[in-house]
Amino acid sequence: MLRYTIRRILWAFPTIFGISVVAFLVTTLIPEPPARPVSELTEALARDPASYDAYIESRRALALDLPTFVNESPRDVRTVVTECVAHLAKNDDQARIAAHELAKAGGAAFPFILPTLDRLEPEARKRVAAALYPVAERMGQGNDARARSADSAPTFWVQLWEDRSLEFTGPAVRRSVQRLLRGATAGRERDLIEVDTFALPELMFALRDKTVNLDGVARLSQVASHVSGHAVVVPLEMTPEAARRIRTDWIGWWSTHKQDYVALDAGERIFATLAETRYGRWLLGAFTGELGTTARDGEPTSQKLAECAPVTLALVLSSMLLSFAIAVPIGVISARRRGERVDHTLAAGLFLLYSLPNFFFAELLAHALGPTSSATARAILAVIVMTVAALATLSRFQRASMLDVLQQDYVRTARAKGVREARVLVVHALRNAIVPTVTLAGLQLPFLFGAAIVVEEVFGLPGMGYETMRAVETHDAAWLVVTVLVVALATTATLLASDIAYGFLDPRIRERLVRPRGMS
Amino acid sequence: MRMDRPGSLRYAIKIVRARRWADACALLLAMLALVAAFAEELASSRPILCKWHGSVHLLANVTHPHDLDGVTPDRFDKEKSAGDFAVWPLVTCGSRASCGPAVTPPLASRAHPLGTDGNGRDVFARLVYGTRSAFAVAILAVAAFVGLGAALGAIAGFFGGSVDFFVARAVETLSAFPVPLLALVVQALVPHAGVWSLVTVIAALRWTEVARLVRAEVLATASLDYVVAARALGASPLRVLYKHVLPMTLSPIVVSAVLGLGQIVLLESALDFLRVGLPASIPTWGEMLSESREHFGAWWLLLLPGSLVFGSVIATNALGEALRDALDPRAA
Repeated sequence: MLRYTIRRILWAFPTIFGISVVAFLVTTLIPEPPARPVSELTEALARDPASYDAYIESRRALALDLPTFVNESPRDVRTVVTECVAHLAKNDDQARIAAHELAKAGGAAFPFILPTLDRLEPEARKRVAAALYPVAERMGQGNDARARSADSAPTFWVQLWEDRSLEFTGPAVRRSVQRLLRGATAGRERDLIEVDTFALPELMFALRDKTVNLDGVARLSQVASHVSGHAVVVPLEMTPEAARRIRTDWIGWWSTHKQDYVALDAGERIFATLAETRYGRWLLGAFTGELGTTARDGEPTSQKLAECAPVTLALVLSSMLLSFAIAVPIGVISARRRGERVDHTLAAGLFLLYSLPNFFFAELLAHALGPTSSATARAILAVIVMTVAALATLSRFQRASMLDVLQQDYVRTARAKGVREARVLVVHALRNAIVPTVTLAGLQLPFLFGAAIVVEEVFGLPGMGYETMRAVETHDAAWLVVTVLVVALATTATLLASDIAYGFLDPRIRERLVRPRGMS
Repeated sequence: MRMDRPGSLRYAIKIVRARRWADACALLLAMLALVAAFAEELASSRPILCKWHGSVHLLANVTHPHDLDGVTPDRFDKEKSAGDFAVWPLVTCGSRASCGPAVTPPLASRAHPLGTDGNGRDVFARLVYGTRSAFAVAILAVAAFVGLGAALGAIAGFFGGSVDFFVARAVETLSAFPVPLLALVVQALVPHAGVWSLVTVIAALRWTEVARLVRAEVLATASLDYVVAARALGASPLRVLYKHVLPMTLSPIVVSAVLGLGQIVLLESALDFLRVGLPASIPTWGEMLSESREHFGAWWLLLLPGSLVFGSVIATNALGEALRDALDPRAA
């Protein structure tokens, strides 16, 4: 039994992966804003660097700068530096943007530029050194005449690296951070500012540390804001809430910007090939419950889901239970009276119900009820519509499975030895015949969720279906994708549970082991 | 090969015809298909055949000549010159433009035998053109998903191995999604949603059922003696598949195609009812039903399109199930 269960669970993984891919593909249907050409970007950068940064950030927030499934060359500070230096050396149309990016990379890029600065052509060297001037400013050396003049800038940087390269190591920075946390002085803060963005990994590590006090969080955040240019508001009076907000802000920012300041090692590079893609980012968000905010009121989708999923779940479960309660007796009766008038009447009735469009039925009931009605009345009608929708399939299935069982020898034996008919039906036959019907529940789930959309819309019940229709009206992709994902995962989980239950009840299934459900 | 053996299509048709309701269902479907095909001859604002100011227009309701712009039957009678004549459709209203007072009940006016809706559009015309959109989407989508499903199912069953594994996983994955929900989401997000996107998304979601049936049939057939004999004679795998195995899968394909027609009509009307199916410029049964919510007393706006959906679904289901019973001795 345990082996069967494990095997069945393992089988579900490809399906879950497939579901995530389909749900992700839905997100790619949304037309994305076109990328702006290089010339336009250079112009924007010259006019207003802030607007250029905002544009880059907005594309990055939507992962538009990443490939869809496989990232052959994941970007890290090393690749960024190599690219920027190449553009600057050639002084091509992207040189301006490269200079800006290099300045943003700042101190974290030093180990990849400064040691090899001498190897560049003299002109290229000057351009690279000049591009680093904003970094010198950030480091508090903006007034240094050598850094400012284009001719002497290369010597300034080479000199700086000769003097201070020992400070650009992880342990040195870690010590500086710890000193800052023990007690802030201008000198301790300057130590960190002087290594610029190179301090970011350690700053972020310290920010994640829950033992750091409120004051420490404020100081770390201020230094980090200074070197990275990512503004995080630090209130004068620190409160635990403010500290939590600051922490989450930085952790979120670091998750998308880490590669700009840290070089990947071989293992990380392989991981980033898959993770640094749109799908990888999206999947990570799905795992951590961060699936964006609803476009309508800016509420996080997870919160909205928690609000309206119970309504739909109540609707689906109650109608499922109710339809079972009605369908099983109907199936038993019509199987017992096979070919008799009762059977024919029931079959005809069920056939009509089976063909009845649920939106038409719901609308008929809504019209019968009139436009003004209580929420209870509407909820009851909604359950009725969903029950009727599920009823027909279930009873037909139950009838067929009951007919199968009633022809078995052991049923004949039971009758022959004089067991009462009711007991034969319920105790002998139904016990076996009901198993396949119960496992049908898993397959009914997607169908019922589909029906719930219509029913909630007609009766105005605030469930997932109703929210989905509002999301359709406002083109709220975040919500629509979450709904698709949640419903599909719920279905898979139910199928899994019903298969495991089936295996528990019927040893033959276990022996056959798991044949793929979709293809039996 | 004698065609009348049990399991063959002709035999099945005989059995189906012997059923009490099957003839009526087939007749109803045929009539609806005719209505869909000849919608212009039943309801249009232009005449079928006319002579107007000396020039003769044949099928003006299809060709839309500019001479006849704005010419209503009344104006035609008033302004016609000697020798002008016109043969008008049953109802002289198009499906899109308003052509009468809003919310007229059926039989109240001769111009609108089935009344008008909230925008003064003729209900008969909208039902007729709605039939066309329902049938067009259903036929296109069924052709697409049956083709796709049969191809993938046959390949999976015949070649087995990793192909089979991937098809099986795809089937399992897609069965976890409620078709209406995913179709609705795709229609809401995709730019220029319309007939083609709807047909594509239905085909992409619904092929799984056909694939499953065809695969099972292929697996059962591939081990039969005559197939093994064909292989032993040196027939290529593709020839075996095409000539010897695929013909045996015809009956489940026919049954799911017929049942699929009703299912797609149902799905398409449900989506139109939620206003995410076809664009609003195309009249559909589902959209008519959803408009009926704004006019609570107007029963005809609810019952007429509703019973058309109901009727066509009953007809295809009855026909499909009769076919299935006839073709598959095991299911009976």
